[in-house]
Amino acid sequence: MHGLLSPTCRKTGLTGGVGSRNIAAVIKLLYRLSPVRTDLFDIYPDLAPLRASMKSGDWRRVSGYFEGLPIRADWSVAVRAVARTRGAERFLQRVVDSERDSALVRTLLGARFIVMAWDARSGLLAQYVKQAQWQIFHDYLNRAERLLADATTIDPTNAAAWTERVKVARGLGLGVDEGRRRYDRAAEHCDVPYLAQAELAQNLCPKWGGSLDALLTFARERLETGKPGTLDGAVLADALIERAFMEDDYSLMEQNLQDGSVRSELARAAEQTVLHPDFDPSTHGTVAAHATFAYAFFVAGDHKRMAPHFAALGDRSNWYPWGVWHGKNWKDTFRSARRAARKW
Amino acid sequence: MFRVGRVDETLATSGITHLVEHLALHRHGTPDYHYNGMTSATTTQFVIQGAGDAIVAYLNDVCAGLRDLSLERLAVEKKLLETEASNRPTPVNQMLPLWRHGARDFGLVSYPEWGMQSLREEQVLQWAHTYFNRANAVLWIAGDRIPSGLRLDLPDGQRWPLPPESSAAPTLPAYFAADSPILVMDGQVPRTRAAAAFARALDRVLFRELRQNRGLSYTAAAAYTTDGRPHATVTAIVDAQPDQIGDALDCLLAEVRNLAQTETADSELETIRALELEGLSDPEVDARLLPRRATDLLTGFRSATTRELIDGFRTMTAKQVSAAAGTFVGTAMLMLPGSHAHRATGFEAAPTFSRFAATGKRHRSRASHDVHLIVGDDGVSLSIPQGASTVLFDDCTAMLRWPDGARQLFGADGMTVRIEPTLYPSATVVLDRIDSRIPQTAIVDMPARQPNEIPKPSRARSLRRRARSWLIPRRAWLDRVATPRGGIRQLLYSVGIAVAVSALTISAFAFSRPGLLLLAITFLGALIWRRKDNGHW
Repeated sequence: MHGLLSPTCRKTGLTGGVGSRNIAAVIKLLYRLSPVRTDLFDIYPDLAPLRASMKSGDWRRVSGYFEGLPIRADWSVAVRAVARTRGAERFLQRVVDSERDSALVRTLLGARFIVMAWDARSGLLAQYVKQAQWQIFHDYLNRAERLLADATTIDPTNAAAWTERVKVARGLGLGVDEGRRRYDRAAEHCDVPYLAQAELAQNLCPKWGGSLDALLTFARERLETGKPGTLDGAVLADALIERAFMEDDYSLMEQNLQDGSVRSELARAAEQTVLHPDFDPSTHGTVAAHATFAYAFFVAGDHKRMAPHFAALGDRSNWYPWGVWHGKNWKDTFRSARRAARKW
Repeated sequence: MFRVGRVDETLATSGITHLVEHLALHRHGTPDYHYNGMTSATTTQFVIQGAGDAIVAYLNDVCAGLRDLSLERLAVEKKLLETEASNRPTPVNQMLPLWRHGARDFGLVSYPEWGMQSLREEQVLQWAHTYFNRANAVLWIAGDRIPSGLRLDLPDGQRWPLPPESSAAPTLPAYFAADSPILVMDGQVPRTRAAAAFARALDRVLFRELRQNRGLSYTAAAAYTTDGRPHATVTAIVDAQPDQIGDALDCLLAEVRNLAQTETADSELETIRALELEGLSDPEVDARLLPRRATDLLTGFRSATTRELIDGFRTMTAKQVSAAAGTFVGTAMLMLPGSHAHRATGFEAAPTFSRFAATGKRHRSRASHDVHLIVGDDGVSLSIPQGASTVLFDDCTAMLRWPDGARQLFGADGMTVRIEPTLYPSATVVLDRIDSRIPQTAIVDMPARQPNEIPKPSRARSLRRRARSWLIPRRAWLDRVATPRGGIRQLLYSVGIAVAVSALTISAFAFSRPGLLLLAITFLGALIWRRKDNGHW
């Protein structure tokens, strides 16, 4: 926890003697009992029928669920939810062979392989990511790429498949231009491709071969042209956080986000998107956006501004961006930040 | 010239037109003048250069030969054609039609002439009778008069239109990987003067940039070709040293896109215009264009007169040239070395696997744990972890059959499934089932193979491969707990726990204290379960 809890602890005055340290430890332990839900099926209740039909292995109900979604909505969150289901690849592989012209099953299996690729790579410390692991990572991504390419060939208007292909372009190192091309195809067929924007923001990061300028220009342009009351523009929070992540240590990161212009830009983005009166809180992707804004304000120490985001989140959250810096214990950080926000 | 070529054949009869051409010419004997027969993708022509009476004798002989083929030469000519094929140099763009069109019509030129193995007399006769007829022929003569005495005694028949072009690349532009360090890119453009000018502009810019300025390539060229179809093909070829092929690829793509996105500079456009017009002012231009016009006449494409060509070049604009370049990029097929595929931004991979596998009984290969032969009701698949190649029985264009039982099936989309009977248990049942589903006309019987060409599965090798495929994903974990690579402390920790577990287990049994066993299990858990860090993103 590297003392990240300290701002909160100092406030509650629990850093005193030996006894109070024990009490703090007990409270921390008790806090762990309160769940922070990250499973997409849990955090979006309307995905429940999809989970049930995946569990029963009934392809007709799965495809029926997707057919029921509005055509130009962002299907990517539902696709991700399926993709994170362990063992789904066996069921989906069978369906690929029987549903010979289905773009949907190829999208789902491709997305599943992407998740498996990242699991294979990152379930290990960086020093252990040896040649063999990279081999597996690339192998899964190549399989995903083939399936998703088939999906976009069968149905070029499949924005969810294009969204996943943005991520594949990143993993396989196909370059920023290719990632941008794929994003453009997703944006063509989806009103608010928030997930695709978040993926492209990653592609545009310097660590993946992009540049900070391109990243910020893209995010600001989304905010300018996006329709108020939708998630279009929330990607600016991702961009600013990614810029802060480039700093070497935590205090520099704090300084970066505490800057007045950064905070007002974040606040403007939040007001135009998730905090807008017309915003529909059941939109898929809402939790990811709230979690990103909450994190940015949390690091900036702006407890007042992070409060509405935590209020909207409740016990729901997202691994990104909380887990990037805080590692496996990010949920503790999330809980303590939420506690601090409630003080407002 | 006749409107028949390789595009009219099937994979199982490929080479039949070429065979007819050879059989028809056999009786003409030793030449006084230069004569020849040529089979291309869309046409077959018989040409001679010489005096009037030699032309008459040659053409009359050809027609007689076509009416009455020298079938006694069939076996000899088949062998000759195989020799011809094995000695002919492979053109660098040989494989592009396969990836664009598959194993049918316009893609057949990429395949060997397998018809030589199995064609029978009646098939050859039937072919000659169907296609080499009066209505399907055009005669062109470059000279001041038509020699007297021409009979051209051919049977009546019909004009054969070009078969429709099929597509094996669902998304264009596309790329496919090849081994050689050479880049070949072709695209389909309308048959306009602007498109021809684009090809010349590309040729010039590639030569200038890749050869002269950057010195990356020896060959850097582009050319415009037609074959009677309503569109022309522009082919660009660039070679480079293996370590520089990536730079050459970047340069090629940049130049092509540049031509499509920006208008050619006026000075360059005027140079190209002047060059093209100079070519057309040659007094023999009409004679030179005759073969192309004869082809167009046969396929029904209205080709431009020389006057129209000149006017076309005079009036073309830079905008039209870049529009042609745009069409080229949009329909491009690119051959590149596999290691550089990720640099072809905007190009989709042409399919290397089928979209699905057949559903049916799975036969595991004796040579490899995760290779399966799947024989379904409607097709057969070879499945490996990366994907499956599937040939549906209804789409099977040819099946090669060797005396040792091996089969190779070719799907219309270019996918192929090779079945080696030594690799699969119960192979004979499978082979019989497949044979019964493939039409007799698609089967090609191949000569016996050398014993070293027949795979012999080794059980030991298969087991080793299986162990490796299990081990590799777990190697990082093993490194962490039980190999020196994970650090000596980790190794000592693991050894220590292992010793403790063994000691506890032994004493539990030796002293009849089952409680110790519980302790041993706990220790064992500590050995297996180590916390992992979940760094993501």
